Amino acid sequence: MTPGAVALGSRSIYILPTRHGLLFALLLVALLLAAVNYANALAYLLTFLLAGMAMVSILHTQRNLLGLELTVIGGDPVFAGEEACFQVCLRNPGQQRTAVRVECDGQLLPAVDIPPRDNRCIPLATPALRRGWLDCPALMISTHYPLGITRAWTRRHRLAARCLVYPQPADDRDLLPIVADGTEAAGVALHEGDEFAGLRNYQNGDSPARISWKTLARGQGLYTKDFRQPLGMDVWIDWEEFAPHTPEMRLRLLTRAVLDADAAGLRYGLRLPDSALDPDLGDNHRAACLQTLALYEAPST
Amino acid sequence: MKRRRPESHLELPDRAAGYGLLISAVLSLLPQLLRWPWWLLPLLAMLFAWRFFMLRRGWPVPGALIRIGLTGLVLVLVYRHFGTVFGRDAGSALLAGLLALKSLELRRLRDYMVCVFLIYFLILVSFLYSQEPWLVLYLVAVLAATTATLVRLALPGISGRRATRLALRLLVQAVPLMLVMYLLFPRIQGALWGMPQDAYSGLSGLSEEMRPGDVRELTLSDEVAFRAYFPDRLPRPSDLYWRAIVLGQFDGRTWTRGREFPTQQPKVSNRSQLPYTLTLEPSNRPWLPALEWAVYRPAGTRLHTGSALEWRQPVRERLVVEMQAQPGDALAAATPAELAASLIQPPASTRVQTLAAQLRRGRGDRDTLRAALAYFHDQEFRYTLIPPVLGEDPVDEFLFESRRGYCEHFASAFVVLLRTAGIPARVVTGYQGGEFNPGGRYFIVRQLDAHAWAEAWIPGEGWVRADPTAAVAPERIEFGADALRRLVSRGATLGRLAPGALELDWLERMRRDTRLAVDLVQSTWSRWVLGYNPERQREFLTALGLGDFTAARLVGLLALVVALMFAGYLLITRPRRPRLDPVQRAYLRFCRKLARAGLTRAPHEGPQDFAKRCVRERPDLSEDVRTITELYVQLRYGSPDTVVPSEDFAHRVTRFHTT
Repeated sequence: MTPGAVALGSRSIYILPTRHGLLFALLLVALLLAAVNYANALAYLLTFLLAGMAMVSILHTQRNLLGLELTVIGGDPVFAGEEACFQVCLRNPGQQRTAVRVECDGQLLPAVDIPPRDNRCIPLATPALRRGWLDCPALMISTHYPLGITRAWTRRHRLAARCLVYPQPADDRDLLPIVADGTEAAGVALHEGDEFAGLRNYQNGDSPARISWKTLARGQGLYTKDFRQPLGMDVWIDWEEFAPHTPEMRLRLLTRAVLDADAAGLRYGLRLPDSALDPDLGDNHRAACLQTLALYEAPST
Repeated sequence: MKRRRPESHLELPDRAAGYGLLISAVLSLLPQLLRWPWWLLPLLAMLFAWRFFMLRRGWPVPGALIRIGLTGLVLVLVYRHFGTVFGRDAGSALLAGLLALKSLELRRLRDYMVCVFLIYFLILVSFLYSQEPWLVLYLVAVLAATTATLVRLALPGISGRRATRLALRLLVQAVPLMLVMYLLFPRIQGALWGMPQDAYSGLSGLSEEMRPGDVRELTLSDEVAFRAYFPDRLPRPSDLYWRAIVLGQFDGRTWTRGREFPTQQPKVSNRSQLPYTLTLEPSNRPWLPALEWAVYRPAGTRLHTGSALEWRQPVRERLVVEMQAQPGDALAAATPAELAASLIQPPASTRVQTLAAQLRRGRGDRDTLRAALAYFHDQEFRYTLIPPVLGEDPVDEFLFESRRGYCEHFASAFVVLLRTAGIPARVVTGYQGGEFNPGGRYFIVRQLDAHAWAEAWIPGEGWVRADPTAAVAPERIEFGADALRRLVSRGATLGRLAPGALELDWLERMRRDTRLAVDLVQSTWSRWVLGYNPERQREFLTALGLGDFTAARLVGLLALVVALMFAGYLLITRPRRPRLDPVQRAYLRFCRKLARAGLTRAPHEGPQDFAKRCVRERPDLSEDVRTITELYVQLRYGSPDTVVPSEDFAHRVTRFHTT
């Protein structure tokens, strides 16, 4: 069993008839009354066969869940306001399972069939409302296999899977200038302080911020401005620069600045009241900055 | 918090399930089509065709007005036709109409489910009409198809084959539970509420009255009246008189049963007893036709005047009775009042009186009886199923003018003659003969074997059977009513039959043999499956030592047994560890051996890494560990071409020791 997985044991599986099951029970009563009233042997047999089938189906319903192993894989980090995506994985150590459903806060995920000794993962999208760690919501596994007259479900399982939610980046109009080392604004720094290394052919995926619009306007084709390590010209994205805003808004603005700086290919550092990340480049640095912002807790005053 | 409604989230059934439902519905209605009023058939056909095109061509659901109108129409038509909407006949027609209408209006999953449940109920209704094994086979197939449809409704997207397999599995697994419930569920004698009369419409049986001369033509039904299974000896053909009703009172036209006299089981000279099992078909009449003479009175019956057995209720379901017969002459005591009543009749005509006096002249009772039989034999009486209708004095007219008739005419005239001659006599009706099924050692007695004969009181001998029909047409007694009908249809003259006239040609023989084989299946079915009634249940429980169980205790026992079986199922079907192949098993054994030596494989450690660690820590084992791991990796992950016998691998593991 994979670590962190929960095996669905018989004690955590509950079974009750569905509303169709109650209807079926009504049918059985009607059949029995007819059989008794007409003292008809075959009517008795039919009634008891269907009653037996309902009983057997209870077992099948339970067996359809019993022994399944539930794991959840946390998804990639998302920004607040987007949807976090967990992978709910069910491993089947035994016989074929059919129409197993994952329920989550009233949300029914599509039913899956799991072949013997195989596993299936179902994406579970959850709205990421706030920055920080988003725990996977409690999951319930259910099934109404095989006849729809009985439903088995498990107790709600909270699994240790979480997804990092970055602060929602601030909009353009919220944007204030980024302060470079010294007094110039970041926008200025981009033009004056960068060590421009020349132009190279545009490649897919290059940031639009680095496209050489001048050469394009001159009709010389699409080029990307290539910046070499702008040594000594580090950009600091600083908490203090966004003083007029609330802490959350500041974090949103900082996030936006990190994204912009990263897109612009700047070497940037992040400075928060209780921590700082030295200027650096690259995806890992960006992720570290965003994570710091996501998990930032304002010092209690 | 908002109540969650899981069902309402489910996907609607797919189109395949829609077709499955339609097919199941039509199949479940087929056995009953011909019983319904004619107007229902086009209506059903139209509605189902509409449903078909809804599935096929995307036709729209008919408007609510049309649907309500049609529902009202069906209700009104059923009520006008049957005078009610309840009961078996009207109910089944109504259910069929409602099912067809409902199948047009399938919005939610529940609507589909309701249709499936209606189909289940219609299957039961079919059983109320007929319990033939063939029909049952057919309906079991319909049941399986319907259940497969239910599976498809519950599990959208499942393939048809898997749905059918699953349905069959569920049904087969339900069979033991069904049997237990069938055997132990307390049976109630009689209906829960007034049994609707239509349950027995169309049942035929012997009538309580006999009016020879009123019937223009005797209609012979080949419906089975009963079957009699003889495990030991068979009765002689001439002994096959099944006694049902004794008619002692005559008003000149109609024979009725008349006054009741205290009666008792007759004493029979013959010591040898013939045990047999009687399976009575429902007749809605209380008679119990018993082979003469019944030794015991079965429980639930009473003895009527003239040692006729009668149930306390009309026979409305198939009954199985164990009986004993003692063929021979009966020595029944008769009270003087009974004998006196057996002489009373309206004054006979002069011609009849003259004839009676002629037969009597100086003879004892025995000889007079013999003379009367001889008279019927010698005179120009003819056996026919199409006798003329008789006028004012039917007996006189029959004896001296028409002289053509069947058993009732002969028996009636014969008894009148004897009574006129001063011999107490009475008419007995019942069945005579029957078709023997050698495969099952039983006689099939049909309604067309119904017969009437006479009994006369001979002092010192008791009631003696005298069959005037046998005197006129011995073929009736010797070959049976069916053969008689064939003979008459061929225009043969009864009484003077050439030997071999009854030989069957090969086609007839084949037909007869097939018929008998079919009947054997049917009768076995009804004896062992359908015949389980309150009496049989009591017998069964007595055999188990539970004879004194009340219904409530029985239900408790049933619940207990079902619970135990349920637990048994739980045990049998509990998930087992997946079976490992021999290579894996051997490798795990190898790992256990190493674990005992202090080298435990971590869950994340692959065989190669594990082997490296082992070699590092226990260089002395390095050779074995390397070889075994290498072999394992080859067997497990190598290309299928690498031929390494897995036994060899297992062997190596066995020989491997850490010390």
